[in-house]
Amino acid sequence: MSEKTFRAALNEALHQEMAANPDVVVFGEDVTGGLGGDGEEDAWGGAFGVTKGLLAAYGRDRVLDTPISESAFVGAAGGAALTGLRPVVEIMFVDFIGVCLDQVMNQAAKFRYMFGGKARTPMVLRATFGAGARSASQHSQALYPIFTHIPGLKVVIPATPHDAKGLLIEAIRDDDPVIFLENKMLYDVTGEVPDQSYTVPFGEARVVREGGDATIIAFGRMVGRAEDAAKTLAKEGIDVTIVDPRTTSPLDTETILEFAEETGRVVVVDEANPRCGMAADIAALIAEEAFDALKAPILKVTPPHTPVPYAPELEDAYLPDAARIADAVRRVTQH
Amino acid sequence: MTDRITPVTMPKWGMTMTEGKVSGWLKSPGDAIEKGEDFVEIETEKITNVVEADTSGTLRRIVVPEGRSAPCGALIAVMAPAAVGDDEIDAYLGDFAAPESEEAAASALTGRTVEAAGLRLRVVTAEGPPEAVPAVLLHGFGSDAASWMFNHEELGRARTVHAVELPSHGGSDVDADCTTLDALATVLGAALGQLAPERVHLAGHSLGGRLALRLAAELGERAASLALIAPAGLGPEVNADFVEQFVAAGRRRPMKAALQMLVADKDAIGSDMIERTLSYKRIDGVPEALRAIADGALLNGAAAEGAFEDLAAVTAPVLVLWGEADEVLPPAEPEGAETRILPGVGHMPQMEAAGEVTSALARHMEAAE
Repeated sequence: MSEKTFRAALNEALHQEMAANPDVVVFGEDVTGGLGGDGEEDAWGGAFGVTKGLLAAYGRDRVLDTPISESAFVGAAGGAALTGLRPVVEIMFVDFIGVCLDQVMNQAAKFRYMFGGKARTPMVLRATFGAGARSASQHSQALYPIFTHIPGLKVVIPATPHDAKGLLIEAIRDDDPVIFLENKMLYDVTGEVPDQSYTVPFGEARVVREGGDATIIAFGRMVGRAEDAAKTLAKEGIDVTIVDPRTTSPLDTETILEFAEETGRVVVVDEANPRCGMAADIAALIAEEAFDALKAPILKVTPPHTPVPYAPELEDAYLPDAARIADAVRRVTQH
Repeated sequence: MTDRITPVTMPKWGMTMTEGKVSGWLKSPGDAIEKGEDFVEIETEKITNVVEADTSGTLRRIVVPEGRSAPCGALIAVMAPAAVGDDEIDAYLGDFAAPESEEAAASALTGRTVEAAGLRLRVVTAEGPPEAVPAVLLHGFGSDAASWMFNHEELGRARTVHAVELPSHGGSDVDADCTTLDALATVLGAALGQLAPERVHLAGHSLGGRLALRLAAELGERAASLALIAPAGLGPEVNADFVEQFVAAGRRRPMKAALQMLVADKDAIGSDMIERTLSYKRIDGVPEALRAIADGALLNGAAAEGAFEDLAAVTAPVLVLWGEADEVLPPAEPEGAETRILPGVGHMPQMEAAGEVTSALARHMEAAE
């Protein structure tokens, strides 16, 4: 066990799975960071440095830079997975899914179903997401509700370095297409990460902390902000539970309902746009399954239903922060 | 007059604790407190524990009320004799320098890896006076060095104290072939040779107690003292339900139920402890290794085999501590050892009655030197 960044935890997961299984291959734009330039091979290790060192360790047969054509390499990943390889492909920003959604939605997600259960599609599509990096509206979205909506995909949103590594190893070993979403603002966050290879199962929420006054359900980067809010609230004598579902598909409805019922007061924090998002989905689940236990309306803390603004002040105001989360908790506890 | 004012600060237990919550004040302002008396309950992400007074005095002011959190090292209360005026206490509160956050996060414990009989074992060390005989702590089945989080630094004031993580536990190498008492003792014996080549105090909990017993028997005169906390092998058979549930638990709810069997106060098991245990159990090879260790060293008489022969071979003074409410290894008073039964305590005396166990261990080691 040692302190590692979110980025290093992901890199370690890729290294360990590539070493353990020759079927694991990695490709995407610039994943080797500068193939073709003299002396610049593996200079950077992907746009965010997550794939650093893989080329040197596993060679060009298994680590490939692709042309700037998501539809081509995401489609290739689906086909490679059908033949028995375990491709891990990287889309630099999840916003680029628009040009290759057919390969994901109509092909990879459907193979098992359309081929009568006889096909396996063990591919992982890694992509960065999230606002805060001053990257404007085409490089900042949190599109996980789109993937969660499509049956046949598994959707993973790690919030900590520990979970980033364990969930990525689980994703690579999984026999279905997995959309693995990395919040780009978390890459330098550090935490305890075991050195050994390990998994975190899909469909099991992490109970970040337990408190009897209210339950906050949060995803990805919002988990840390919920923890900050919880610290502020603790000083006021309000003790909250925080549940991090870790995967939106499958979703650990059991744990969400358990704590919704236990506290009767729920705040859902979601970085995605509010319409048809995870906050709305979870609020509906709780309203339907745990209505009798509720003591207050379920509150959603989300950005407004707008694109992510480019102006830094507006971008900061756009994202839910600890103050807004704490305020929502005060409202449900005072109800 | 400020030398008569004693600050009470948020304790730091183990390497990862950064803040704690006051879950209950057992004393009110104006109450007299005896040295060694429990007076405040602190809850961490891992576990809830009671804090004993370092010194006698009167609790004058509570700074952090029940239900509130504070960083390690922060002032949570003030003790002073009745003669000290309220204005002096106010002045003291105003002057109290809160530790820098980095300082509060610093720990006297350091982790490293030692190579022993082909395996890499993780060792967490509290460096103490080098002239004193060092001590080695061995944790129980499925646990790790954090098992000693409430005792380790305190014991380290008198001597260097190494908490060694067993094969296939904590940050040590996973090896599904190193699972019998003999095999585990061989690896730990090799580690001991490096950590404490001369004399050594040994203390072990549960399976670690059984292993400490074996090592003490093998070390002969090199063992300065032996302390066994709820040791396997010297009492009734280990509760197979606990072992099976612990090994089988792959998710939060069954893991929580298994961990609750370890302690008398079921609320002491926090969400972080459950997550950490699950995280450990999900390391590649660990479930298989735990299964094999359960069969090879614990269940069906495996722990008891040779235990009393080992005890008879130990020349060092032996102290046995056992929780009265232990559901995992029911308490016993093995012949040939001084045994103390701790009331209201389950299978984790070093956590549940931390202060008492720490001082018992410290005195036992001190007396044997």
